[in-house]
Amino acid sequence: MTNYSGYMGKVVCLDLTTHGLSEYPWSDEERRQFLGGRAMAAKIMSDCTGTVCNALSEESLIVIATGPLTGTGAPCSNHFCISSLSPSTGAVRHSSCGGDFGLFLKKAGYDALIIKGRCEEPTWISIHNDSVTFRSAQGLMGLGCGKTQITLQAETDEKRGCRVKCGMLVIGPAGEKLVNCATVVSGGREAEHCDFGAVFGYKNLKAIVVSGNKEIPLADTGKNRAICRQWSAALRSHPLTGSLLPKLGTMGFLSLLNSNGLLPTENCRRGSFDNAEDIGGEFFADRFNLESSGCTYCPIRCERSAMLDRRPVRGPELELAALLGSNILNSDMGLIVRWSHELLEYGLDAASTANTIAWAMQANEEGIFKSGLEFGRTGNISGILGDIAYKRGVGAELAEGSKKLADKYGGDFLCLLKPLEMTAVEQYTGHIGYADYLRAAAASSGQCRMTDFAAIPKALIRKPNGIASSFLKPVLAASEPLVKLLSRLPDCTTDSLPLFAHTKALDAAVGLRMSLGEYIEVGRRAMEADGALNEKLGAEAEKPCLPPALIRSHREARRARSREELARLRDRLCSIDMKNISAVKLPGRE
Amino acid sequence: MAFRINSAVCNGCDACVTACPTQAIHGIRHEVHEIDPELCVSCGLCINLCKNFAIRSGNQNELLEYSEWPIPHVDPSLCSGCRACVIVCPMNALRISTPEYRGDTGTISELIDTDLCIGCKKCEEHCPVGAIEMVKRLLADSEEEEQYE
Repeated sequence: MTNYSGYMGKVVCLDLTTHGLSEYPWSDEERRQFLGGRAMAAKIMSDCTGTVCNALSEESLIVIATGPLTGTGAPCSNHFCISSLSPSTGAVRHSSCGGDFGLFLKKAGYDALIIKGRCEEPTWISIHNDSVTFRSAQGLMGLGCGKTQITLQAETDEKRGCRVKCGMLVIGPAGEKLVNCATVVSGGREAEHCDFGAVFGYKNLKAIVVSGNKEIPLADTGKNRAICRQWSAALRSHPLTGSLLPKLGTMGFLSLLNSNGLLPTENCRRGSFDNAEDIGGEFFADRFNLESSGCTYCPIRCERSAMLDRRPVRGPELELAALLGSNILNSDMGLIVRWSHELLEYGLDAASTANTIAWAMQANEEGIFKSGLEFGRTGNISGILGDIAYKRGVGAELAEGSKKLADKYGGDFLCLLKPLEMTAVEQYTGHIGYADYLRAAAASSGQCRMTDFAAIPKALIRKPNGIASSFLKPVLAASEPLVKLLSRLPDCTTDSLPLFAHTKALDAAVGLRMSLGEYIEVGRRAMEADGALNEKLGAEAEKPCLPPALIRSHREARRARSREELARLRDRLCSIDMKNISAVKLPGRE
Repeated sequence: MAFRINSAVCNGCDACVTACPTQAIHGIRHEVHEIDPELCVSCGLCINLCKNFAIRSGNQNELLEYSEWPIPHVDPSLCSGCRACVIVCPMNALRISTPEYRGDTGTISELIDTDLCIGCKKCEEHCPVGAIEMVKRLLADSEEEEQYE
């Protein structure tokens, strides 16, 4: 039980070996220190994982944690965190997912679900409030993620005799076959940068269906509604979250990355692509997009949809457009839409799979790993995706993921990219020292990272290239003391900054008062817990960063732009009529 | 909080059983029925259908006639199409509107059919931005007619 609202007050541990359900002790003090979501999962993983633990073993844990804001109506708060040990690296990894599973987990009365042990045969689990049922998944094996969810919905509806609203978490054929780049899917959304499909597959867990009829308590309903309305309005009036993302989706940032020399091209050998327009958000919006939709509670709605073989499917995101577009020298958006759908059906993680394909293309070119994959050749990609998911032929090796392939075959062209949206955010903001902590804290309260964009003051947004980071550097160097100072100011001072809505929403919905400084501390604790666990396991966490070629390309693009700007300024100065100086307009921002 | 059936009054007419959107009510015909608290979503449809007042909520002493069940009115300037109302509607009576043109970002929540709505007010309670207001069914119909004319 808990004295805070917003939480359901129960964290449970489900043992797949014994089919037992037990309550995991989680105190209010821990709620205050770790909030929920990512930080909560990090703490539980750190506390419960032994010193010797393999991702694909009975002892390994899967933690699914919701945030205190999940289901309270706060904008973009439908995200939940799935954490486990990565089968590729052995280190702890957290993944955020925007599907409805987290919301229904709370409606069933749980803040988090810890899964351990292993089922003897393929199983799917049905959870409704306190009742947990283990059911055979033999009939579901080999089904794609979409078909699995349709079948499970039909079975659940039939059993209850009515349409049941529920959240699902399923794996596709890739997870069943223990492919290293397999992900888990909830609704039409895959967990981002997640390779836990194999962990689910190893545990013989095909799917979890959760439903419930519990109400999520709110500390102050009126105040919460006022804050949600204010926050939602701030997001909808912001140039990025209110205009660019709803209209173009995350693919809208592709042209920004391209003009900044940061668009991964030809396995990150270059930072700009000649045909970038053909794989950008504008092109997709013009030719493909059917509907702009989003996760529950999201006013941003960055999700796209398109027609494929005469039926609507989910459209690609920035990550996929770049990594299966420019990065493999493909400029056919139609193919990207098809591959995006295939990846979701197979249950393959888009970023890891696309990175592996790009790596294999370069390895093929350099003759160290023959796979038949070539830059610019797109005819065989669909087949390769199927081969990876079912571990057939060359796909069996590609299923290991780019990191293991690079360790095996060598070659110094492995690119572990960080999420491209984050790179885009940093183009607008520069890299704030505290940004990682703040992001981790937001993920802990159940927020999507798209809300990061609204933290950029409107006045500083300059289209199309973002802010010149040279301008912001001196300001951001002082970010740490600045944030500490802001966190000590009374609430009213920060009222107009949407960034601080997180803490205000926590106060209204949960009854948890914390300053921005304390909030950021939650993120720091999450990262420290991860570090401690990785040290205990002797695993090295991946440190995704920009490959050197992209950094070089970015610098060149910046220099070229500076030269252009200087030339423009010079032309303007030369054109000034010195006799009529009072009529001259000072150069302003575009 | 799930509703309860007053066993002294219930005559097992089954009106609530057939109508309950979550199939939470069970019992043999002409015998006292029960509501499963694990399934009940407190939509209140059974209260309005029970002619014997066997199910009560608060101080309500009269049955609301069908024409008096309120229906949601969505304020398009506030609604962001976040689907919170679609998720909570026990009758699946709400949906997000069809885009008027390719990539339309102005899609909002809408009532599929006034006949489906049972006036439970769940959508109004759960709308995070207060974009939904329950209005009288007849009033809403006449407004629509006026707009149509």
